[in-house]
Amino acid sequence: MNLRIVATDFMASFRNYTRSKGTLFFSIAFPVILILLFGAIFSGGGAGRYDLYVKNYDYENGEFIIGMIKNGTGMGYPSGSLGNFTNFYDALYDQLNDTGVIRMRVIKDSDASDREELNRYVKSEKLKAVMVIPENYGMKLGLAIFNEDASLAPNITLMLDQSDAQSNGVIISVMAQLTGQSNLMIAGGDNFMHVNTSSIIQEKFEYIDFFVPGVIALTVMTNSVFGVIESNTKSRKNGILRKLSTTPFTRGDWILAKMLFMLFMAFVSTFFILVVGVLVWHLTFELNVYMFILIISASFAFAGMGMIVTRFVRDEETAPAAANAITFPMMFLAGIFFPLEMMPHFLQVVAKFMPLYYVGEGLRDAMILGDASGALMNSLVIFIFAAIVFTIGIVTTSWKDE
Amino acid sequence: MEYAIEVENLTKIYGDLKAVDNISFRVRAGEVFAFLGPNGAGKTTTVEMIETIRNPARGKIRVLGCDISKKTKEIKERIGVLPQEFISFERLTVRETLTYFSRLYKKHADIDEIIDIIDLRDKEHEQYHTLSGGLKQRVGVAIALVNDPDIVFLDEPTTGLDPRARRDVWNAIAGLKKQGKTVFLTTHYMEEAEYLADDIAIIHRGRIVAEGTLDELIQKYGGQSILSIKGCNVKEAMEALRKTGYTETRLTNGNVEVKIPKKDAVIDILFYLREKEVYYREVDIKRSDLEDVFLNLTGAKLSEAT
Repeated sequence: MNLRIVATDFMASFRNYTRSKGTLFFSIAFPVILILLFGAIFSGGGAGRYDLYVKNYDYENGEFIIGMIKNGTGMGYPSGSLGNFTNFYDALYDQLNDTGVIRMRVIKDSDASDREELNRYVKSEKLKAVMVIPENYGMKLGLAIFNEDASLAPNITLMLDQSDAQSNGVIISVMAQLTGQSNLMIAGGDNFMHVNTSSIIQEKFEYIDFFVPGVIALTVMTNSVFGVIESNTKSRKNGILRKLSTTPFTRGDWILAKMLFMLFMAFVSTFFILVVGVLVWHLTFELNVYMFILIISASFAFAGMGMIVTRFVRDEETAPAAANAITFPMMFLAGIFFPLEMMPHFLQVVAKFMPLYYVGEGLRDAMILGDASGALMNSLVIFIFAAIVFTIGIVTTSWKDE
Repeated sequence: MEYAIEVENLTKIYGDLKAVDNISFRVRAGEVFAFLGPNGAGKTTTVEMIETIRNPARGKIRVLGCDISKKTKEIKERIGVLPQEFISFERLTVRETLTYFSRLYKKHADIDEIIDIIDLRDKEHEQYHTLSGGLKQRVGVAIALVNDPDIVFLDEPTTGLDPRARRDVWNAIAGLKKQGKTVFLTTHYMEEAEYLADDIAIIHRGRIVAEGTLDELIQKYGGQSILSIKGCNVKEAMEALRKTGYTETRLTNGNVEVKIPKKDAVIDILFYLREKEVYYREVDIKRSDLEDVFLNLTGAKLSEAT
């Protein structure tokens, strides 16, 4: 190993790179823009909530119901949760709003005085989720409880747009918890329970906490795969590899120099991503050794994949397409932009075969969740993968054309 | 050391194709040696085997007196190479590029000196990608000099350049010879070989078909020179020539052309024409060139052969 030569090549890569505005943009500005964009989409004021429209034909009786509950004559409903509300339904809406997942929107009587008008309104306004509370709902419910006969209890109807499975799932789940909780109390359960939706959206962590480690993983992947492809195919096409092979520069030193530069770039982009995350989205994260292990391992793993690609696709024009074929599915299926839990089960299984998944998960464990054992496991997976793939990559990378 | 490069029975095979077929030649130290042949003749394959970056199937190569299979490292330090169709780092300046390549070697030439020799002074701070084709090739030649090499290999250094840029590169190459470097040049331009080379080897389909100095090649394979008699009475001239015994004549653009088998034939003919009072405006002697040599050797034109 000749460190002087390695350093010379590193500096040349650095100069060649920083002077190319396009490359600079795509490797640093691109992840930063991703974070700004997706951060704004998912983290900005109230975004990420689902609108639940409510048409309440029993609203007028809400004051009467709340009076009964507060007097202790009403259905065993815990009066403590009602606060200063003077209408039972206002209290209910407030509780639903409080979940942080649902935003209640009341449909005015003037828009839909009866069922027929309501149906028309829902269609014309393209509403996706509407809760319909029937006339005298409160009184009938009270009667059912009084007679201890659940079959007398009236139904609240949820009208849901079947094309939007994701928001439906969230709304149904929230409603199920709300009714479940109410039922428990009505049946005389001892414990006071709040609507708790932590199983759907983590209370403590926001989307940006999920997204930033993913973007770091994604950036390391694209930089490494495309960096290697560029240096392999372009240097080959331009005769630089042929030229270098006539000099004392060895193939091993050349790969080392390129890897060091790629690592440097990985940490530079990580730095910019974190700076934007902290300054713009008030991201809090932990800097620890797993982060470094994961980023370094990932760089080697994806560089190895790039080498293997250029072993088979040597042409400068088609090699990036081949790389896209590998990186694109990972970008969307490895749980970078959206949590894996949102995807169908079989895709979740597919994701577990993608190295990017372990990088993203590991970085989340290490930086955000403080889950040392998770970080260790993911680091281990990606480290072993990197060792194998990079070795294959080195073996298959040849300077000679024959 | 008399010979910088010695090649013996060199062969390279790709599949069924013998890209290089049992060739032998020697390059004297300090000369410009041109490897002339059409595209695909095996020039690059041969030169890359000598540069140690391709492995021969058979044969022996000695560079600077060393067997290249044993002293690869040492040889790499002492040769400078401009590969075919070489494009350097696009966004490094000329000076940075030369510095980069210079640092790869133990021995360094003075970069300022190289810049002056190759005449790149006013471009030294320009980025490579902004340079014209001719300048890029000159930078390529300059890169081949950064380790003050004993042998410089230039693989098709002027392909794709316009005539003026080509001449600039030629001047740069001619300058290398003055510095005492051995230059191994591959080309498919016969003018390039004629202008630059001390010795020429003509390669066709993997075999060397002829080797020697320009004069030797032309004398041996060029066929006869042609005397062109212009502005004459064609009938009279032809008649006179036939009587003198020079029968290989032809008519081109109203000029009578006659092959001259030996030097004093010209005087012979002119003397006879005056004697017979055949009027002519002027005469012209056309010497045969490498194109004729190649045509005679292979039956194909150099510029069209593959």
